[in-house]
Amino acid sequence: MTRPAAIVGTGQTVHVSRREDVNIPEMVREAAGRALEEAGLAWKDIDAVVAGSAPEIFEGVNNPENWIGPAVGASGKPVMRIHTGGTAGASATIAGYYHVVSGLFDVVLVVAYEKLSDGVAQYGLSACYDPLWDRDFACGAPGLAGLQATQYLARHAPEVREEHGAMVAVKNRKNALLNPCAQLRKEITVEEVMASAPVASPLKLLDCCPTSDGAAALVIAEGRRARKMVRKPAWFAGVGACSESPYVPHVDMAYPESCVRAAQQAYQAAWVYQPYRELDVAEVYEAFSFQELIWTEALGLCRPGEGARLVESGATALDGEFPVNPSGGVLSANPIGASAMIRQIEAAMQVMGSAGEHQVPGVRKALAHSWGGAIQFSTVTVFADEI
Amino acid sequence: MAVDDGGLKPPELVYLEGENRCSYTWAAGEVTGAFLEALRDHGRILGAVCSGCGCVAAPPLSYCEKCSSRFGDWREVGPSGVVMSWTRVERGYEAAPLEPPFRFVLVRLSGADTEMLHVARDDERLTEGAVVVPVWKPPAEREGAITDIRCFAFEPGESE
Repeated sequence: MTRPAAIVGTGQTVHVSRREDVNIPEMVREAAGRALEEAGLAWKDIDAVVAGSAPEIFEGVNNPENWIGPAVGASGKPVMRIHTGGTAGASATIAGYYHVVSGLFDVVLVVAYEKLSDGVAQYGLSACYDPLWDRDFACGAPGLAGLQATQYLARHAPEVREEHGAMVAVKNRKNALLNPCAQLRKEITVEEVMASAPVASPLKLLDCCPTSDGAAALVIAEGRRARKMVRKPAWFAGVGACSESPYVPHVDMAYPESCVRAAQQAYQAAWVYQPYRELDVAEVYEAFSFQELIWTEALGLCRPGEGARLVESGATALDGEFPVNPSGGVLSANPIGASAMIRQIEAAMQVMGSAGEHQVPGVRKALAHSWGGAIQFSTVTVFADEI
Repeated sequence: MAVDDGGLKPPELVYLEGENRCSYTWAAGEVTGAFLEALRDHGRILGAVCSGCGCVAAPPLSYCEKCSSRFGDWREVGPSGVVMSWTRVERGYEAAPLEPPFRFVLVRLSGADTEMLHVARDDERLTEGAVVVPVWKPPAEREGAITDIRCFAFEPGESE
């Protein structure tokens, strides 16, 4: 790392199932405008733009950066687009971070979005599989997550049960009541989750995220500028990214190596030795309820199999010892290309003290996690209130 | 040096066939929606006036790509416009908009500051600087798309 960088402004749209009043670039501009406003900047103050987006097949708009760049003030400036499946939004932020810590740019705007209602999400997700092997089965996302959850439950039964997944859904949907940007804001019970329609066993409908239209944006500034712009920037303390593949020998979906390694990288950079003690809050990418248990374990917040105990004891609740997904998480809104960035934004907001009703008191270090591809990419970002 | 192929023969099956079958419903948004409605219902072309620099965009944008300010107001533009550039397409291809030969034209409508990509029947007089007008679909066939303008030509009724 050559010089410090921090998030100085964040913005999100309210995530909903269908936005008809705006098209894609307009929706992205809405989030970007909010991020600039929070940083006290104008469009002209941005040196470069990074745009993250999900597979083009979702919306059928190819080279979306052509329109998104100019919509967020990039005319006459460098634009690049970043794509790594579900981690796209976080990878875009990491690319923006590289822009700034390298010394090449001082102030970078990073945007990400998804307008799933323009297309057909499940078809698009199925089309993301390898055309030679897996694509014929149109496995979608619940198919993959069902395989993952079965592997996880088989390993840790009988201590870990389907109800533990339901507890995650109940907790996160309750948190979403306090997040004005969340899409699903209605409390549910474990009984309702267990009784909801089967999707891909052991996943039921209420174990699964919705499909959403929404955008997210953040502004990254180099250290000296960051301190002048806002009272409390969210400093990048550690960034980790790691890839693997479904075809890697001995792949382990219930304890993914890419997640373990990304966390190690981030913790080493952030001087974090005991993540559960030293971090204050985490936002993880739980598109399906069981994933929150798996990620908390792979991130080293507890030992393998103990994620269930964390949720059951209330430790990961909003008022618990270590809140996980105070925003309501991906289970409460999933604009796919933006979701990984929303985890970072929510973690940064916790550090900046700007999370409003779902603010966790006294946060000094916050973790954001995401996964993408066929559990192929993992990112971990640790934000801190000082550097 | 030849690669040792271990005695393998080249297989017959070296490719798989596939396709993507997707349909989309792109939300145009309120600003673009108003532009498309004016095309469909009134045969009028609206330019979006930037609230900051006053640039007029047709097709419209709810923000200015030059100065980043917000959409300000509507101003009717055209119907005539100037060909800013053109190219003659001689061979057909999948999804070609017209039977070749035809021309792609960049048209700057009168009153607008941006150019619109459109098509025209082949005509050797259709070069940069030519003044053209839209050839509309009959009102009953219009659907609120830029193709409600069938093409550009020297005369409004020329292309039927």
